[in-house]
Amino acid sequence: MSFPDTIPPLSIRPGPETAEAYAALTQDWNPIHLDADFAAATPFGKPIAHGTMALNLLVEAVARAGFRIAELDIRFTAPTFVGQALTASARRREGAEYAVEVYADGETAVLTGTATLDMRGTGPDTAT
Amino acid sequence: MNDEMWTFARFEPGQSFGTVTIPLDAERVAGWAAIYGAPQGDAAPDGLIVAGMMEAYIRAIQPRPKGNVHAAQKLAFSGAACRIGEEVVYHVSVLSAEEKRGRNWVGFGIRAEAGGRDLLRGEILSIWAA
Repeated sequence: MSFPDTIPPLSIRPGPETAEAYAALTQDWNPIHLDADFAAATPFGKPIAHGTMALNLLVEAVARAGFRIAELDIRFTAPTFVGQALTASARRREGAEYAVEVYADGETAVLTGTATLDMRGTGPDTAT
Repeated sequence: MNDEMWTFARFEPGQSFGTVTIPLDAERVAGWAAIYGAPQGDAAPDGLIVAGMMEAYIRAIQPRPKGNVHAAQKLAFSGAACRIGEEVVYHVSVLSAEEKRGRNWVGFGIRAEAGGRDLLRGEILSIWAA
């Protein structure tokens, strides 16, 4: 089995409508993501994107490259403000282990960690 | 229905919040597609299973204080296939609860299955607000 040195970057720019769509998808209507007035009274000062929006961008980037995440261990290292572009990528360390990261506006790491990848269609019950 | 707020003091390792069943229906697929693009074929995107994990976590533990912080996440996918249109059953539990340096850290375990097939095990590490 051959693993590439990098997983091609995948980007989105989540605006307020994207935050609403993600809230509907996950039923996470925390006003910190959606309400500018509420967010202004928090230490963030303005709405922040859902953390797993960045995580799922990484999951999708891996899938589009023809792989799947077998195991993942990440930390959310900084908030993403609504309106910032998110870019997910992965760099191979050795074997199937990758350093994974998501950047906001190309300069702030908002998610970092490690993932072990596998080829798609190699799990149990894949024919079901 | 218990309307008592889920505060940090009420969490205990091993505590179960039961199951939440989430259909990977057209509405959820459309929601996914609006953000990440339309899925190819009839396989559910792995990320849609993760989105369901978050929905289960939100729905299972209510009411909850505002201002909780999702600090870290572990995932382990089995690789088992899941099709769009299937129902996914999420089991939600508490793995850990400890106060460190004035912050309330709670680890939640989520196990997802569909049709008796294990799909995903996740660990959500949160800083609980109250």
